[in-house]
Amino acid sequence: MECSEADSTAASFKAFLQKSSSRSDRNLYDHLVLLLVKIMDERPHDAVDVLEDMSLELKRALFKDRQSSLREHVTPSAGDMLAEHQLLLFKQEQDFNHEDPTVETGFPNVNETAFYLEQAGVGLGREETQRILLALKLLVESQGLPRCRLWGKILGTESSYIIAEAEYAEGDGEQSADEDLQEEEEEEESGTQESETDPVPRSTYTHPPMVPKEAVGTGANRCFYFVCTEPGLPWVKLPPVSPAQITAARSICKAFTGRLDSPVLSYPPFPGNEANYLRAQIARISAGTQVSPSGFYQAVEEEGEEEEETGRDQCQVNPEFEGVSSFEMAQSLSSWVHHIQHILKQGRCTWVNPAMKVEDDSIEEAEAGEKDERPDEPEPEYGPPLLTNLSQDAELFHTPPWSLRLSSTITPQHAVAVLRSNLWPGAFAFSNGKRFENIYVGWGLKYTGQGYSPCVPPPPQQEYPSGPEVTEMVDPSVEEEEEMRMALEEQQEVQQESEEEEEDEEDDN
Amino acid sequence: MFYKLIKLFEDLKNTLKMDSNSLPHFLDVVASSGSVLNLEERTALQTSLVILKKNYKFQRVLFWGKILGLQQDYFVAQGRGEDEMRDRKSLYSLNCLDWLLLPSVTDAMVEEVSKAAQGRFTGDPSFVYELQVSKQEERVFKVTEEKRLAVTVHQIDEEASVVPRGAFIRSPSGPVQINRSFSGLSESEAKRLENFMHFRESKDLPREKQQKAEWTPAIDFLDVLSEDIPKGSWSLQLECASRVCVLRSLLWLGLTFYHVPMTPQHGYVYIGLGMKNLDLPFMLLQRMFHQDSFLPPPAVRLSVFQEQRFKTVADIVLESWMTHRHAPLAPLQSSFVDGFYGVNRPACQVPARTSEHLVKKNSF
Repeated sequence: MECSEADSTAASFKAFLQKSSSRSDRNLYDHLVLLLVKIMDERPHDAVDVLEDMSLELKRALFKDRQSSLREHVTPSAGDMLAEHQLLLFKQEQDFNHEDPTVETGFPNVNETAFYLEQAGVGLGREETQRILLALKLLVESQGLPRCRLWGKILGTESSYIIAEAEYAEGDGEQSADEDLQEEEEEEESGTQESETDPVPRSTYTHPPMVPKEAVGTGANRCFYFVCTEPGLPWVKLPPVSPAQITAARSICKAFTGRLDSPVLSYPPFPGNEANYLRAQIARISAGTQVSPSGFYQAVEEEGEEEEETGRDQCQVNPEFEGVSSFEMAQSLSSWVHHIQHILKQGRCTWVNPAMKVEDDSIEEAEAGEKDERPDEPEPEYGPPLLTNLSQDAELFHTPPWSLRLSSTITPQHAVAVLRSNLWPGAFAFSNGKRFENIYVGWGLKYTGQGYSPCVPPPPQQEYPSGPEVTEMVDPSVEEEEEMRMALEEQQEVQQESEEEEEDEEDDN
Repeated sequence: MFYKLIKLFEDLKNTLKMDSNSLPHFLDVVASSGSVLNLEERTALQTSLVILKKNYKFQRVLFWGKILGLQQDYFVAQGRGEDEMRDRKSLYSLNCLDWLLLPSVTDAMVEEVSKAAQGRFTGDPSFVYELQVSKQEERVFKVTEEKRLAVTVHQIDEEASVVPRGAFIRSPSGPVQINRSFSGLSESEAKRLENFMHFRESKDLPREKQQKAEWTPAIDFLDVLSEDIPKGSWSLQLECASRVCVLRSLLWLGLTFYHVPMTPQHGYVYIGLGMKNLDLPFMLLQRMFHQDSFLPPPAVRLSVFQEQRFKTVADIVLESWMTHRHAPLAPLQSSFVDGFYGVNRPACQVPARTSEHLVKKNSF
C-alpha cells in the first residue's frame, strides 16, 4: 500500500517533468536526460561549476537544429581572396631551371636580416617575413630592378604598408623633368579678366616662389619606393617627393589610414594625398635614421674638382672595409655615420635659390626694377655634410637622439650592436661585424615631446592697397559744410566779378 | 570527442592572455606591430614566470609587456589571483630574471606622477623626476621612476586593456573569473568593435548598456570599446592572412590585442614608450575645415557636423588654436632642429592695427 503511494507520487512527478513547456516545446525530463548524457560523455573538470553553462549550451544547440535546411550561400571572405593572392607568391617562374642560383639576385635575404633584427627586438614574425621575402622576389622579377631592400613597415588605422626601396638605374632620371615643367606652366595660367566697370582692387600678394623639385636620382629622390598592404597583393610605386610636401609634412601630425588615395586634411594644407604624405615621411625618416658603420661607405672621389662642403651628395661602398666588432660599435655613437643626405629646411638636400628661377622666365622686365625688389634674398642653407657621425646629432626635447646597446648582456661575445632612434620611434639599426641593416617599423610619426601643436595661422593679409578712394574719412560736420559753402560762394562771386571785368575790357577793346 | 574537449579546456586555461605556456605562439601573432622579444628574453621569461607563480602563489602569471627606456627596458608581468579584476599584482624586471613588485597605485600617486614626470623613461628605477612649481615657491615635486612605471601600467590597464565579449564572467557572488565555455567570437563578430571590452571596473552608466539585444549581466559588465572617446582611437584589422583579429590602440601606441576567431585564444601586450599619445585628436582629424580657407570656425559651422565626435575633437583644436593665437611667442622660439615649428615668424604676432583693417573692410 505504501509502495503504491510512493509509486503514484513518483509517477505524477515524472508526468510533471515530462510536461512540455508552453514557450519552447521542450520538457524538463528530456532536457535533464540529455544533460546527464552529455556530462557522461564529456566528463568535464569541476562539472558542478560548469553545470549551468552546459545546460545553456544544450538549449542553444537544440534550437540550432531546427533551422531551415536551405544550403548556406558561402561568399568568399576577404581572407579567402587574400589566400588566393598569396598562393601566387609560391609559384616559380618556368625558366627557373635555367637561372644560375649562385648569381647575385636583386632581392635581399630578408630572413637573415630578420634573424639579427629579432635579437634587436624588432621584427614582423617569421611567417610574415617569409611572405615578404617572396613578395620582394616577385617585385624584383616583375620590375627588373637591379637591387631592392626592405625599408620597413608603416602601421595605419585600417591597414598597414610594407615598403620596399630600390635605387634608380642611370637613365631613368629624365622622365620626371617633363612633368615638373607641365606643373609650373599650369600654375602660371592665372587668368587676368578685366571688367569694364570699375576694376576691383587687385591684391598685391605674390605667391612665394616654389622651390623646384629635386631631380630623380638625387637628394631626397635618390631611391624610389614600392608599397603594398599585404605581401601577395600587387606593389604600387610611390611618386617622387617635392620640397613643398616635405615642408608641409614637417608641420602636420596625421596618422596613415592604409589607403593610398585618401586625402590628407590638415592645416597647413598638405599638397597631395596619402601616397605623397607617405613618400614625404619615408624621405624624412630615411634622411634622419639611415645609418651605417663608419668606414663602410666612403666619399666618391672625383677627379679634377675640389670638394665643396655642400657638394658631397653621394658615397660609395668602401671595398676595403674590414668590419668593426659589435662590441666596439656598441660603445660609442661616433662609430656610426649617416649615409643619406640631410634634408635642409627648404625641403631639398642641395640648396637652390627659388628666386633665381623667376628671373629666367621674366627677362622682359627692367632689370633695374628687379634689383630693387629683392630685399629679402634668401640666404643659402647648409646642412651637415654626408657621412657625419651620430655623436653630432642634435638633442631634441631633452632626450638624446639615439640609444645604443648590445643585444645581450649574458652572451656579449655573440651579441649584435643595436641602435634605436629616439626621434623616430620605430627606427632601428643593427651591426654585427661586417653586416649591418636599417629598418623602420612604426606609425610613421616623429617624437613630439610634450605634444604636437599645430602651427599658428598667418596674420590677416592686406587685401588691397590703401589709397584715397578707399580711405575712410570722417564726414564733415554741419558747421564745416556751411563754411565750405560760404567759401565756395565767395569764390564764385570773385570769379564772376573777374569775368565781368574781362568782358568789360573786351567790350572796351 | 571528449578527448578533444578535455584538450580544449586545457588550452583554455593556458592560452588565455599570455600565459607563460603560450608565450612563443602569442609573441608570433603580436609581432605584426613590429616588436618582438628576442630569444634570450623569451627563454628567460619562461623560466622566471614559473618561479614567480610559485613564490607569489598566483593563479596564473601573464607577460604584460615591455616599456622602452633610454638606457634600459622594463619588462612587466602581471599575476592574477582568485578574482581576475581585483587580485592583480604587477611586477617589473630589467633582465627578465629578477622581478620586483610594483607599488600599488593610489590617486595621490597618480597626481604626483602626472605633475612631475615628463619625457621618456630613462631605464633607471631609482631616477627621480623633479619639478619646481614656480621660482618663488620652494616646493618641488619629486617622483621616482618606479612610481611612474606603476602608474603607467595602471593607466594602460584602465584605458587600453581589451578582452573579447564573453571571455570573462562575473559570478553572482562578485568575483570576475574566466569563462570556461568561451569558444571565441565568430568571424563576423570579431570585425565589430562592440564585441571587445575594457578589462576594468565599469565606468559607464548601466542604463546605456541595457539597450543591446543580447544583454547578459554576467558577461556585459565591462565597458565596450566602441564607446571610447575619441572614436577612431582603435584600429581593428585582420592579420596573419586574415586569420587573426588584431586591435591596436592609438591612444597608447604600442598596445596590441589579438584574438583568433572561433577559438578561445586572446591576449594583449604593450610594447612601447610608456607615454600617452596626446596628439591623437590631430592624428584623427578629418573633415574639419574647408581646405582652401582656414577661417576660425564660428559656432554655426560646427552645427553642420552634428556627430558628437567632431564636436569634441573640434573643441580641442579650436581651444589650442585660440590659445596659440594670443599667447606670447616665447615658448615657440626655442631652437627646434628640422624646422618643426617653422621659421621664426615675427609676423605671427597679432598686429596692432586689427581694428583699422576691420573698419576698412566694412566701408568697402
